[in-house]
Amino acid sequence: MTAPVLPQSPFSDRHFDRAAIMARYPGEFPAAGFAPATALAALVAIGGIVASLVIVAGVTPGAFGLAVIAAGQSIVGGLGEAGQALAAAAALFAGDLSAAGGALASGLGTLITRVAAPLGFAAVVPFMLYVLFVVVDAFRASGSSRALTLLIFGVLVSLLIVGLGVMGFSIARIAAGMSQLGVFAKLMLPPDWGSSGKLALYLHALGETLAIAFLGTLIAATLAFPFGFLAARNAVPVWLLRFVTRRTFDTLRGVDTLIWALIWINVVGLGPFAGVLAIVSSDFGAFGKLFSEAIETADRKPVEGVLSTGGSRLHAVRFGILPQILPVILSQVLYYFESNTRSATIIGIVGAGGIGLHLSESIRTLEWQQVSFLVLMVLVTVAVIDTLSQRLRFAIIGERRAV
Amino acid sequence: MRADTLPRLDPTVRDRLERGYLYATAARRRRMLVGFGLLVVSILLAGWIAEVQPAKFFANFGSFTKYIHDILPVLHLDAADTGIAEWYWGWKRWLRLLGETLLIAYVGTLVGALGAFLLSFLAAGNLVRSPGLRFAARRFLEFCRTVPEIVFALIFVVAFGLGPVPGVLAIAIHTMGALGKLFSEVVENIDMKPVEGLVSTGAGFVETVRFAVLPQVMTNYASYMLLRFEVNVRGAAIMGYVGAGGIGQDLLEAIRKFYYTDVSAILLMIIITVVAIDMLTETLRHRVLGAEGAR
Amino acid sequence: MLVIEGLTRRFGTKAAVDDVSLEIPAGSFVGVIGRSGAGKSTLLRLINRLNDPTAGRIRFGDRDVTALGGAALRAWRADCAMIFQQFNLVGRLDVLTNVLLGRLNKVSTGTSVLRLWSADDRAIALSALDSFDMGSFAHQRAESLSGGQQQRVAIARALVQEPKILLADEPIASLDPRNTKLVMDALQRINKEFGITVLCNLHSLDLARAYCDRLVGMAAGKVVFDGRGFDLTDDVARRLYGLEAGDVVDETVPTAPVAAREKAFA
Repeated sequence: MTAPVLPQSPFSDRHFDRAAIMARYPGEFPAAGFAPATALAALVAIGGIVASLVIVAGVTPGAFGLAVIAAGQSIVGGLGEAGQALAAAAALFAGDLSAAGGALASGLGTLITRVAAPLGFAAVVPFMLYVLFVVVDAFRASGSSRALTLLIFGVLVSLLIVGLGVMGFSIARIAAGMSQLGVFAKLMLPPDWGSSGKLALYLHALGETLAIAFLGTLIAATLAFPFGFLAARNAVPVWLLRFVTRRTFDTLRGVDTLIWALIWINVVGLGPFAGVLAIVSSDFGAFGKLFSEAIETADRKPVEGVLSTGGSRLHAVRFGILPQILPVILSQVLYYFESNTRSATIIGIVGAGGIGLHLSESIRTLEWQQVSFLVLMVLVTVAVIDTLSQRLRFAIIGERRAV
Repeated sequence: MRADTLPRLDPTVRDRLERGYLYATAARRRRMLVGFGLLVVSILLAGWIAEVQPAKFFANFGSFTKYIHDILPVLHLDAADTGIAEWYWGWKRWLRLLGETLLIAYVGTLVGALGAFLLSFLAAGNLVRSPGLRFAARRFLEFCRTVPEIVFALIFVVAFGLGPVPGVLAIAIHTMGALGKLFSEVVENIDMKPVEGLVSTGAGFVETVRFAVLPQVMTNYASYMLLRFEVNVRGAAIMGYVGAGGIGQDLLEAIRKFYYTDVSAILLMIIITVVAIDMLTETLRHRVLGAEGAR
Repeated sequence: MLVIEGLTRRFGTKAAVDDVSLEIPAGSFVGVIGRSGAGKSTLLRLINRLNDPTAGRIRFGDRDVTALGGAALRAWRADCAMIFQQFNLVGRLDVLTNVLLGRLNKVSTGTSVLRLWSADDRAIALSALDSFDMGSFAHQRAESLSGGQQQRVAIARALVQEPKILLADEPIASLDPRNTKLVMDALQRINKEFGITVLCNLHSLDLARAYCDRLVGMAAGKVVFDGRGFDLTDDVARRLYGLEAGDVVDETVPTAPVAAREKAFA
């Protein structure tokens, strides 16, 4: 063996015979250009996207070009204005410091709103589309053609464009809304509760929200517990009963808590009691489904053990199934309590008690400092409940994650 | 075998064993009792705060059944077709609004999931070394998910004007928060050996995510996204309450103005849609989770 | 030449690598031996910069490896390939893609995440697989292969990095005797044919003696032996492993006679 020059690439011409490899694995080296299926798929995808842009979203090439030109002019204009303001700031810097600061702020503001924001937006959209394509492509088995990737991507994006067009999205509208949001954000600081009377009102409403979530979750779970067995294949072997129970759960779940709140208000009047009933109604369906799934996945061996000693069916459920599913159920109930705290904040919007009423009122009357205070209250409360329920779950079940 | 043929323990031994057992379980029973007591107290307290009035509930339960009875249409078998036509008199408008609801959910889910996708890698403790970046990403996601979407919608309606635009944005932001958390948990549970293998070849962050993380998390991401789409369809159906598009506006009007049969007509449409979407996403999820094809 | 000066890495108060200084000339085949927990793995991970040193310096030519960051660090890692005890392949990707991952540092991110590999890269990856008789597995998922096959894929991935130095962290610890020989022969071939420096952690003293030009013995994070295989007396081995030297010789591992090895590469 001759002493090689140290070190060498294993793929330099001396060691690597490309032609031989290509001859040995011809399938890996298709002829240059697209495969027909891929080319067709690309054509369909691009055609779909362009058609949805033009027909549904009403974006014609001419209008798009004009909009791009207008945006470009605005950016150039913004650059000029910002440059003037910054130059003024630099000139003032030696003498009048506060005036220089003002000029600096206005220059930077122009730079952000008229140059950075539109350029950022123009960069974000293609980037997101690229990410979407990469994600869709990641599902493709390597070695297979990209035709399906292209088709799925085309459908997803076309539908997205159709949706945005039909629903009245436009760059101008988003830009205007964003600047409005910026103004609101400034007005929200610092968070403030208004008067002490209002603070008491808010705290009471927060208590109401918690009470609604707590009672609603508890009652729903208690009611759903026996019905969960009715919908479980291994507990009740009657097909019809199971079918009816399951569809009932689905129906109850399908109606949102807010709609239930509206219905219950008609029955028990405005106030938190309607909220409790609303949460009970929609969660009854959710719990029923979850419980029946937990029961169905329970291990059969303990049941057989109980039955083998001469126990009845009821005994088998009590001593064979119940000990297995109780931790699962408890964990789910705790998880739902946390998520219901969030739901309970919104049913106040329709008058079913809790903090939602004040939240929607202060948004309608544009009292932004109170809005941010109320949102902060909700955030803190949910964080506290989250921590508590995680601890409780850990203490009772010995594991942290929801099942 | 008769019970008395079992061997009996010496009474003193038995007493000692029994005492030992009782002693060992006493602490647990005490905790159970305290917990139970706390539960009862909180129930009573919550009942008082939430103004629970069982009497009123039972007294007025008749009005609930009456309400259900009222909103149901009167259909006769001999004139079922005209009855249904009358019941669904506004079907063209409702179908359009239902389509809008689905579009809100679709666009909101897709945009939110893309955001969640990007942020989840930043929020995952096993990929991002910088605690500051991770902390920022996590708090941001937490904020997006804790504020209910309808609150976002309320604010966005003021900023962007009435219509589906604020609804889509609200759902997208909430979806980003909810999915971002789930996604980052998935990322935190991956096998780190492939990641290390990739880093050792000199791959950058993006490449490591694409080739070592994505193949492991892909199916779970798709499954969570489909679940979220179902939740978002329900969420989009109520956006109309605050003027943020979809079928909710008409439902609210029907309930408030006592257009009884309209309520049942729209509710039935929503329920059927939600149940259908539920079944569809469930099948898709099973296929995605089942067919873990090579990537 | 790889120069290590006073390299130290502490985890908490415990020093996994404690003031190690070594000079490794280009083209050598160095075996790092010692019992588990002696700091062998940490040493290799420090060289690839999977872990950062607490103190000390690593130099390679005129590059200060310990000071690298960003793109320069990634370029160093590409030059310094690593193979692992558990192979560290991406199980859900196919074999060919796994090997192509070794080229990531040489192609742009924008195209590589779309898996748009050039024909050249694919030819290189296939040639690497082919040279370890793995070409026919190119489209199988990596996780469906046996351990020995996976390790050969991992070596192919290391090879397509066109590295200057190859680090092998217990490459044979999870393999059977036959695959052990295949993998060790492959490492030796990479060293002899291309002059790539190989730094290999080994558990088995016999294998180390059979394959390595030079042995570095580590105990408790320190270098306690540095020399040729036949300099390693029973006395030193006892110090290294803290037990009778005879115990560490694994009888099941085949020691490859030199003549047989030569034949394998003919």
